[in-house]
Amino acid sequence: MLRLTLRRRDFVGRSLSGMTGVLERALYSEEEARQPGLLQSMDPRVKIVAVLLLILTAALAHHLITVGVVYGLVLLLAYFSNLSLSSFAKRGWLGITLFSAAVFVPALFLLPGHPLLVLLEGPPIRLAITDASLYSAALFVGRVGTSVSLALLLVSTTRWADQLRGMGRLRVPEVFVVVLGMTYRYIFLLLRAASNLFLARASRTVSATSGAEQRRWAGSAVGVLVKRSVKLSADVHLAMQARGFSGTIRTLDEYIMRDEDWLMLFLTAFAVAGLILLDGRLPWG
Amino acid sequence: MHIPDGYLSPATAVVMYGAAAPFWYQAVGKVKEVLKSRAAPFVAVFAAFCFVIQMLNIPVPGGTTAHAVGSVLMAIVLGPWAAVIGGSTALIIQAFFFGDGGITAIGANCFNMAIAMPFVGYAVYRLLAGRLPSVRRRTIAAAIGAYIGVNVAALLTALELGLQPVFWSEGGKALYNPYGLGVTIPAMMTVHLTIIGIAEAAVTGAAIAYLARRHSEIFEDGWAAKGKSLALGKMGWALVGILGALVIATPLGLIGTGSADFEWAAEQLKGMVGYVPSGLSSMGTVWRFAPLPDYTLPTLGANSGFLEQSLAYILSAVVGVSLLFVVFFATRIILNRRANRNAT
Repeated sequence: MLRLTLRRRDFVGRSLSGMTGVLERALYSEEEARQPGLLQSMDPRVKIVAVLLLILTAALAHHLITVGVVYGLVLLLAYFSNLSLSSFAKRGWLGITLFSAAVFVPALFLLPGHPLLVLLEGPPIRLAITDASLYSAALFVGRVGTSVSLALLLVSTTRWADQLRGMGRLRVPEVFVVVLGMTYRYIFLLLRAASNLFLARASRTVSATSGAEQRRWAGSAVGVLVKRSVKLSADVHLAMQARGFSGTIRTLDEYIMRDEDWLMLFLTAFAVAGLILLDGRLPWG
Repeated sequence: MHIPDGYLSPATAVVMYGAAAPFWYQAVGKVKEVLKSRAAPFVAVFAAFCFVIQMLNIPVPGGTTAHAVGSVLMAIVLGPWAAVIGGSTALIIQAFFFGDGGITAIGANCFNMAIAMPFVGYAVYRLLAGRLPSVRRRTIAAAIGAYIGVNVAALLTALELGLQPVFWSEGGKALYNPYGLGVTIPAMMTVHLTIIGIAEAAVTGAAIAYLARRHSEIFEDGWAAKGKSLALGKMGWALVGILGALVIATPLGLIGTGSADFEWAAEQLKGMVGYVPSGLSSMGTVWRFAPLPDYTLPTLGANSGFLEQSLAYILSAVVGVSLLFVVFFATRIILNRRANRNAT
C-alpha cells in the first residue's frame, strides 16, 4: 500500500488513495465520536436540528459579524466537546474552504466599490481591489468555512448509528433511514471490492499501458461492480426474508429527551432567531 | 460538480429542493410498486454503487484523470427512477457524512446529478439505441447519452451558480457566488465538454459494452426489461417536458424582472436570440444609472430591509414551487383518469 503513494499520478494509484481516504475519514470520525464531551452526550435529534439551524443562519447572514458569531459558537461547542481545536480548525478551513477562497480571487477585481489597492491603472482597464470586494470575499469564504465546520462538528461528535436513529426519530420516513443505514454499510463492502480490483491490476502491471486500454479496463471494472451489486442486492433481500422481513421495518431504539437536550435546543433556537434579527438590523457594510 | 454550502442563496436552495421533491415522490412510489419488499436492499446497494463509482479515477486522453458521476449508467441498467433514488441517497450521504457538497445544496445537487442527468442521458440512450440494439449500437448510444447527461448537469450547475449575483446586497457586495452566467457557463462547460464528459462517456460506454457482452441477461430479463414500469413512462416524459421549459424560462424570467447584472443579461440574450429587444436595452440603461439596483418585488421599495427582501424571495420561491406541484398533480390526475377510462 505504501508503495502506491509513489504512483499517485497514475489512475490506479489515485483511485486507491481516494478509496482508502474515505475509509480513513469514516473510521477517524467514528473514533472521535466515542470520546466523552458535551455534544457527544447530547440527543442526536437535538444535534441535527441545532446544526441545521446554524447552517441556515450562516446562509441567511448578510454581515460578516453574524457569520463570525456563528463560527465562535462552533469553536465553543468544539472546545467543550473535547475536540482538538487546531485539527478541527484545520479540517474546517482547508479543502473546500481554501478552494472557495481561490475561486474568489478574480472576483476581487471585478466587484465595484471604493478602491483600496490599485494594481494597474490604464485608460482601458483598471485592476483594483475595492472595499466592497474584500468584504464580499471575507463574507463568502467565512460562510463556506462556517458551514463546513458545522457539518464537521456533527460528524465528529455523533456516531453514525446514532445519527441515523436521530433522523428516524425526526420523522424522516423510516424507509429512508433504513436505506441510508444500509447504503452506508454497503459503501464499505463495495469500496473493498473496488479497491481489490484496482490493487489486483496494480500488482499485475509491469509496463505503461495505452490510454484506450486503461479506459476499457476501468469500464470493465465498473461493469463488474454493477454485476456484483445486482447479485449483492438479491442476496441481501433473501437474507432479510430468511430472517422474517416482510416489507415493514421495525426498530428497537427509543430516545428520551433530557432537560439538557431541551435546554440545548432552546438555546440554539434563541441564538439563531436573535442572530437573524440582529443581522437584519445592522447597517449595511 | 458538488455545490458546497454558502455558494447558493437560501431562496435558490429552497427552490431546488422544491424542484427535486416531485421527482423524489414519484421515484419512491415507482420503485416500491415494482420491487415491493426488495426495494430497500436494492436501492441501498445501488446508492452504495453510485458512491463508489465516484471514487474511481478514469484516465482521460491528455494524461489527466477525472471521476464519473455514473447516474446515466444506473439509469440504463436499472431505469431512470431507480437512478433518481440511488443517486440522491449517495449525494445525501456525501453531504452529511463526508462533507462533499453542502447540506443546504442537497436539493440542487440531487436535481442536477441525480434527476436531470439520468433522465436526459436515458432519454438520449433510448432514442439512439432503438428497439433491439447490437452491442456496438448500445455502447455508442450509452456513451453519447452519458456525455450529454453530464453536460446538462454541468449546465444546470452553472445556471444555478450564475444566477447568484441577483442576490447581491444593496451596497453592491456579493453575498453568495460572485460570478454571473457569463463566467460560470464557460468555466463549467469547458471542462465538462472536454475532460469530464469524455471520462463519463468512456466509462459508461465501456461498462455497458462489458455488461452487454458478458451479462446480456441484465438487458434481456434483468431490471431494465423486467421493470418496464421503471422506465420513463408518460409521467416521466411529462416531467422532462416541464423541466426543459423551466430551464429555458428561468434566465428569460430573470431578464424580464431586471437583475443586478443587466449588462451580461442583455449580452446573453443577444447570444441566444441574435438581438436585444429595444425595450429591454433601454430599460437596461435606465437601471444601470439608477442609484440602487432594483431587484426587489415591485411592491417593496428598493430601500426595504434585508428581512423583507428575503421574505419576498422566499415567498416567490414558494409560489414557484407550489405551481410546480399543481402542474405535477394535475398531470397525474389527468393521466390516471385516462388510464382508467382505457381500462374499462
